[in-house]
Amino acid sequence: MKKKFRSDVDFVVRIGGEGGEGVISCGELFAQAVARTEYHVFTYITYPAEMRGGFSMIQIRVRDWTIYSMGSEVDCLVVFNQQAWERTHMYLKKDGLVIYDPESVEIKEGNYKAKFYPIPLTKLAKEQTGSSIGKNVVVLGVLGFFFSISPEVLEELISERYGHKGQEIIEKNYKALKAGFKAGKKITKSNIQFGLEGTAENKEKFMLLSGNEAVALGAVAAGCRYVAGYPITPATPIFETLTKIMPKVGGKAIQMEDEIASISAIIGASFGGEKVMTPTSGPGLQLMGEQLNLAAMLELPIVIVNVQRGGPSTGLPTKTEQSDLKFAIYGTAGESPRVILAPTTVEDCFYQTIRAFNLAEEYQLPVILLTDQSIGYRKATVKLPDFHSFKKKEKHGIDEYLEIPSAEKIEVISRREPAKDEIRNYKRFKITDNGVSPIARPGTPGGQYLATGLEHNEMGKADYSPKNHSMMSRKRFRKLEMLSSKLEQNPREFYGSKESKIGVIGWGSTEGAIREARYRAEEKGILIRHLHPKIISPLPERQIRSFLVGLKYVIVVEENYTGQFAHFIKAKFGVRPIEIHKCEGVPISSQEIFNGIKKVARIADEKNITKV
Amino acid sequence: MKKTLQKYESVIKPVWCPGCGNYGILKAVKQVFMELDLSPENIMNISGIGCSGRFSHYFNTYSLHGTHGRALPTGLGAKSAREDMTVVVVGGDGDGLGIGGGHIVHAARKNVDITYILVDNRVYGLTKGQSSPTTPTDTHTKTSPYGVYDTPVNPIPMFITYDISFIARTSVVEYKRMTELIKKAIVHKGMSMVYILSPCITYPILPLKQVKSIIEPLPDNYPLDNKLKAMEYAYTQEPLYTGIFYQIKKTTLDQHLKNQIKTAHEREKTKKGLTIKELLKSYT
Repeated sequence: MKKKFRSDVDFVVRIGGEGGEGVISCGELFAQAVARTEYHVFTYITYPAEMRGGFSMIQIRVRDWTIYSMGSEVDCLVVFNQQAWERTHMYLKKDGLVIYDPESVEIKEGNYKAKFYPIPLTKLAKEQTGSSIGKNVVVLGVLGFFFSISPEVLEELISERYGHKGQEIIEKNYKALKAGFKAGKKITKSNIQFGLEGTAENKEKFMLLSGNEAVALGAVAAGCRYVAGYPITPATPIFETLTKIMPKVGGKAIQMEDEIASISAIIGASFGGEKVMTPTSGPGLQLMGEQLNLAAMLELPIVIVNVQRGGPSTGLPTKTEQSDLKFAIYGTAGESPRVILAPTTVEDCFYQTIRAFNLAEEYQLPVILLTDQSIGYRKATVKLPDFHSFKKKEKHGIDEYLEIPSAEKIEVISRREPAKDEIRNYKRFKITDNGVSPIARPGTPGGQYLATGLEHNEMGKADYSPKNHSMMSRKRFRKLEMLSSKLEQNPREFYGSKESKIGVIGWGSTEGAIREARYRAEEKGILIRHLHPKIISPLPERQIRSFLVGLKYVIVVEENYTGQFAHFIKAKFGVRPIEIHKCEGVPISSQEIFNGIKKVARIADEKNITKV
Repeated sequence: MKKTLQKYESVIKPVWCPGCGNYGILKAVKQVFMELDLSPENIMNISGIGCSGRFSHYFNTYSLHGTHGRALPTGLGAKSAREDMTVVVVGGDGDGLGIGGGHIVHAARKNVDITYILVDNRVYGLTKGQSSPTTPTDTHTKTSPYGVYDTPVNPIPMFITYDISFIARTSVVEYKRMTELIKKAIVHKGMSMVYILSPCITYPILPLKQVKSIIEPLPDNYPLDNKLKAMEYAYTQEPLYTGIFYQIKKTTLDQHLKNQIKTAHEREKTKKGLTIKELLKSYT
């Protein structure tokens, strides 16, 4: 019997243990099962940089509606060992529940109102599978029972995930799963609180994707068929996904010897006429600096994805930070144009990646997509896009309004090649009104040209004359001016009240947390205006100025030490923002932002603030 | 003959020193293009920085003059994206063995079907006379006023160790032979290395006369696929042998990439490959 889809669901499950215990895969299987029952899911993962040992954790938030952040309080906590308990119990909700293994966790007496369910996970796993490794599947069974997920859904997921390991392993896992269900049943008869059974009618189909997977799929959707990369945490899953899926769609994903070779290879492939990308993280982007300029100078479209991690140097490879912004915008010897995009959600990773390719092809320059570890490793439900809306755009967008790709409308822009009359006396770097000149595809007779990193004239010939350098610099930057003026026509990227005196500006993955903080503030009567540009550079100046009008306080929220975006805003718009930074390697929560807003509201002491 | 060579000539006139061996290499490459009847629009010339970096300027082909040391991975990208193109990469002893030296072994491992012409003049010529990775020990240059203390690189044994599938050495002093070797290299399926000694006229660390006196063709019965034998001849300094040191058949990068696509299509039971719709649905 199908039960009705619940419309009051919003809870957080957290599973903690030691790296290598299967904590993450247990959580991911649970999240996938929830997604198949068509609820929204949002996961957050932390894991150690080492292969084994260290603290590993996955948090899963389940909701019947769009989820904006990982959630701050835990409804259901599963702890595999003592360390996991010590590091997570403070996040437990007062009336939450705890599942733990009494063999390895000792809960000292404390003032807890939560319900405690000791389940001998290790023992059960050993009984059923002959090894303690299976305890994550036992936990999956327990969770399955608590959340009324059908065993069939979980069995299907297990066979999909472990199928390649052979039937014997699968059977063992089924046994462990059953044992988990049984153990859950033994302890408590029913659990209405978290019931998720049944599927909703007329609901969209969801993909369950990590931000990294969404980027990889976005690239394929955008028409990218050539990727070169070098593994680097936390961007590796993008490259892994692409090495798997590229051949399936007739494309190529090539592992190179380092990041310099990777970007060189995509420049060569872009010169060859392909849509190209390389995924990397901060240290890799740094190595790519010189070639990034080359692409800008040769006016070749390339897309670089930088999944930011904690820096500087080797820093915190598995932790999150928004600290490569300045390098992405300004990190260059000499001056070269580039576009910086920052997706805000997992779903947005998919669409902003498509947009990154469209912009790269349209404006013939490098586009850097700045995500971060938290968004890259987070998994969330993403609506399947409308495939009828997939369009290859014949007419080029630079002179008209450029659509932002969305589930309802995906436009894919192809490279502008010279027309027949342009091939005669072809000038690759011809000065045009908008700075863009057609690129001949190798193999086209008469389109042969020289692309040199030396300053060159319209023909491509090296030319260091004062007049030429100033003219060509203008040509290259003209493209950014064009883009910036076009962005002015886009829908405004800000939310909240026009009456507010307090504005919050953020970028990238903090969007959901800021949005939730705004909702909370509004509940308390504090009006907030929230700006979250997805194109960080170039910024649409008029739009930003209209956001700033009437504001007394501007708060810039970001996950870094020095306040990089705040500096950028300060320099561009002459405002003196209040900076809320978090530089701890973990995402900022809506609570932390809300606390900051409260402080500012107190200072503001304006009439429109009733109670704080 | 001259008229047809023009087909490959760009409007840009070379700026090398008068008498530089690079003029000969440029002519030889054009001649090979002509002999192989390649259309200029189907050729990609990729180069890095240095005197050798200028090669790409002088061809009427799709030419890319990139950054220092990165010509090889750039060429690899070009060829792996466009297997229908003939890709020639030109580098020098600084560009190819110094700053970009690390890329050679990996291009060799992938056996990308390009021809790498490595022009060795034993000095940084364009920047006016500093020591390079192949400058002999004790040579006095602008950056080694007390004499070079580094051991020079001996490239051919290195290339043999890398298992590059075609390795040849020649010099500008033997134009005809050099042209033949470049031709064989371009015809070869897989990565081909043509290492050319091109003594610098302005900084004559290795005088032309000396090259002429020490080079000698490899013997007629020389085996092409014997690495140990190749090493023996490659280490011999006098005479300095020229010719093909090593040539084997190996699967090329574009074949590997094609095979990958074929395997993936078979696994997915599709002929044309997955559509974006099918791909996204597999993630639900």
